[in-house]
Amino acid sequence: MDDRLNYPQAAGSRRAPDSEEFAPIERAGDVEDEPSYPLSLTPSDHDELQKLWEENRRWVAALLLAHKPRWAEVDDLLQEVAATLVSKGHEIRDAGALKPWLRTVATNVARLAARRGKLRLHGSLDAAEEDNPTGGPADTTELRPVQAVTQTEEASRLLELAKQLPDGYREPLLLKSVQGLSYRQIGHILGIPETTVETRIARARKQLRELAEKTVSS
Amino acid sequence: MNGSNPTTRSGQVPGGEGPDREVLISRVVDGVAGPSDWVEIDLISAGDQNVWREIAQAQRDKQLLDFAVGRATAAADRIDLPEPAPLVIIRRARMGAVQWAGWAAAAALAVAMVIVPKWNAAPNTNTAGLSNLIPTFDQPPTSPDAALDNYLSRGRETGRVVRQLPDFVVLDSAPAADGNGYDVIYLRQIVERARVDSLNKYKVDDAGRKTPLPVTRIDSLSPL
Repeated sequence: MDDRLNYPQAAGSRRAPDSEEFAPIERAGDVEDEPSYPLSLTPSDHDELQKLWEENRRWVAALLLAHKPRWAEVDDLLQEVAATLVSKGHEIRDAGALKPWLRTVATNVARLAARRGKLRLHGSLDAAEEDNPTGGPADTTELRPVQAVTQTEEASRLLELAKQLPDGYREPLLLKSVQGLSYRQIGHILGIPETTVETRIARARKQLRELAEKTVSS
Repeated sequence: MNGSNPTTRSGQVPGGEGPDREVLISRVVDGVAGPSDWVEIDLISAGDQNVWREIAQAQRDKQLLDFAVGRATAAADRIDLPEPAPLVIIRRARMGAVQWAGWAAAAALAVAMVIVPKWNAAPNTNTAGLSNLIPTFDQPPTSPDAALDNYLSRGRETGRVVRQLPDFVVLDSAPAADGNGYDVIYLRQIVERARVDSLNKYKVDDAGRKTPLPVTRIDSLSPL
């Protein structure tokens, strides 16, 4: 599997990977850096890696959500990212390089899944697949109050619409929905200035509202 | 982000003096609008009361999207890093493959012989002294589904199982004899990871015999 994935240089480098699919949307000179300190992980530092993983896995999941094909499950893709961190994470020498590295790996994993999906055979046994495109277990939640059901459905519809936004808007918007991430942190992950993050999130919200209104009216 | 956003940031209307309307609304929604932002909003609302409705709608959208993203990514908290140990063990075994091969085969046989009776052991079976070799199972899987779940979860933990593909490949189907539904023959697709010592492709000669050809790389195929 590793042979097919072009992972970014991990040794503290901020150089963008060669492959064009990993080219950042924008890389300006005033990208906000997080405090960096040397990392000296070894393959046996599993506990330290696990700690770093726990700090970052939520936003990685949100990023996978922004890029994954419809049928793929976030947790499956997340496991691939986790496996990559275990096998290559010790090569990261600078703590400040971890987030951009994870972002590139996550984007790569999601796009590879999409490429695989184009060639997959169809033949689902699951008659309800159309209603459950992730292929994951169906929602077996028992009957809930009408208001809660409506909110869940409305939220799911809005998320589906958000996935239709262009990459440059979809990524920061979904990352902002991960609790605790600031514009600055999102900028560090995406390799763009904080001010650009703010503008893109604002544009994304406007576009999302227009999409939602268009959907309702149609 | 602090609470006093300067008005010269990006998102300005070209030629304007402050951030544009959607950036202001977005700051309010994210709880980072500063005093100067509120002054701008006040000025806008003096001429267009709709800005309050837009803020309310944006708040609602954010609430819904946060809920949906939180729900879709909740599984992340259950995904831990796989243990690297199995790969290390395999690598070591490969380094000394020849000298340890006989020992490993004997050990595998011994463990297999112990494990198999463990599940079907009579109450008085004596396995004392070997307990450290026997994986502990709270209960042996009682059904194919439980066994499969056990395999998938253990496989993911050790890194062997990469994923189970969501689609099944239907090989055959027919109405059930008792009239209740259909009997289906299908392939379940599970992607696994392994490390091997060598790679071979097979060439089929005119007589139909398969001849292995060592290669350094096998072009990847989509795992369906």
